[in-house]
Amino acid sequence: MRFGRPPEGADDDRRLVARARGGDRTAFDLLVLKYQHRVVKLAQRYVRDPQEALDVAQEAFLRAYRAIGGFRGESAFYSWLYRITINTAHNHLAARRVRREETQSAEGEEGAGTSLEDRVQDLNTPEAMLLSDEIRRTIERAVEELPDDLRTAIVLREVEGLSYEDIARVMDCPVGTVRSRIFRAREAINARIEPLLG
Amino acid sequence: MIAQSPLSATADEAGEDCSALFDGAAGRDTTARLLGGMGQDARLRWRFARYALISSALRGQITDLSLDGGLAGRVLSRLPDERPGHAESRAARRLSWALAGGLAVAVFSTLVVRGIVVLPDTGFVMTGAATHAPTPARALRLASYGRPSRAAWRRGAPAEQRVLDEYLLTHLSASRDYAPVMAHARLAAYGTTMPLRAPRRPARP
Repeated sequence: MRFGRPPEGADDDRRLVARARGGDRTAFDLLVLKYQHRVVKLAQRYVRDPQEALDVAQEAFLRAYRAIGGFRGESAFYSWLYRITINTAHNHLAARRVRREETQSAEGEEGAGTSLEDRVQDLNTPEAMLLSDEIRRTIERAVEELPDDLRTAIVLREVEGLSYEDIARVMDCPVGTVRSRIFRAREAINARIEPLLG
Repeated sequence: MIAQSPLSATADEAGEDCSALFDGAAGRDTTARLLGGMGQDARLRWRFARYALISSALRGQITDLSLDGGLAGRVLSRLPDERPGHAESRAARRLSWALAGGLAVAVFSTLVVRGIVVLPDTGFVMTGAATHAPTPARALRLASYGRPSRAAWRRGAPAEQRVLDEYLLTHLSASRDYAPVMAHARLAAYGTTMPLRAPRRPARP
């Protein structure tokens, strides 16, 4: 069986990107909504301070918007955004290092012992991870409890990254059925996490 | 078994389109319709955001921080008014024209300089700041006072190095307002055996 799509989906965002390039801010807003979790997670690998991580994520998206005219779609949008985020985080760290050196030289040795990272909240504490862990567990349970056809469709899509056409081949059903199953699976999962998120 | 969300037929249809849009499986018209509709119906955007949350959670890519729903709104409110990539393409266009202009001048300069070599008595006077900014070849000859005319860098020869440094400074200052045109002209003129009517003191930067 031939699968016509790379796992990460180079053209999943083709239409939204094309419209964003044309100045459609709603299209870019959807790209932000779609990738904000991944970008924040990535930023947190470089910057542990919550506010700074959000600032890096925000700056990465703004840079992406300014540069999207140069994005030719040769790679997946997220791969491109990933590189921008890493560059933004590196720049942020470099700027922070310079600021810290200036501050330390101004304050002298007395104030140099306490770094900013030592003073900020550690996001990896169990308390801080509580809600995201709860959501993740709830979603996993919801997937397990889905009917077989819905579960297979959503897992092939979200975990395996297959296109609708490839899922249709695997499940031996029309593409329209795949589309409907994935939607119904999402709605069912959404109904389960709704009480957590309000 | 999980109960399905209570959605009307129309909402179901819009939701399914939204789900397809999230996966990049919506057609061009559907995409346009949904994007247009999101301005009026905040629930569609909310639904798209929930699909994103589910997708990221299944990939283990959510954190408490990413659950702060304000990020997308903050980004949206800070998007520049200008169309994305518009400024960049305008700059690229400007650069293209500058390069094309520079290339044209380079070709023209080369032709003129070669003509002088063939006809040594032909007058060649450039007007403006560039008149006083000699090429490396000229600079070396000025420094050597009539020694063999072929320009040659000898790294480590202090006198020549000084003249070359001076040339570069003079050239940069003379061509500052003409970049990149003068740079092309200078490149074209470098290495020629342009005769000098009289040694002329190079302008100080």
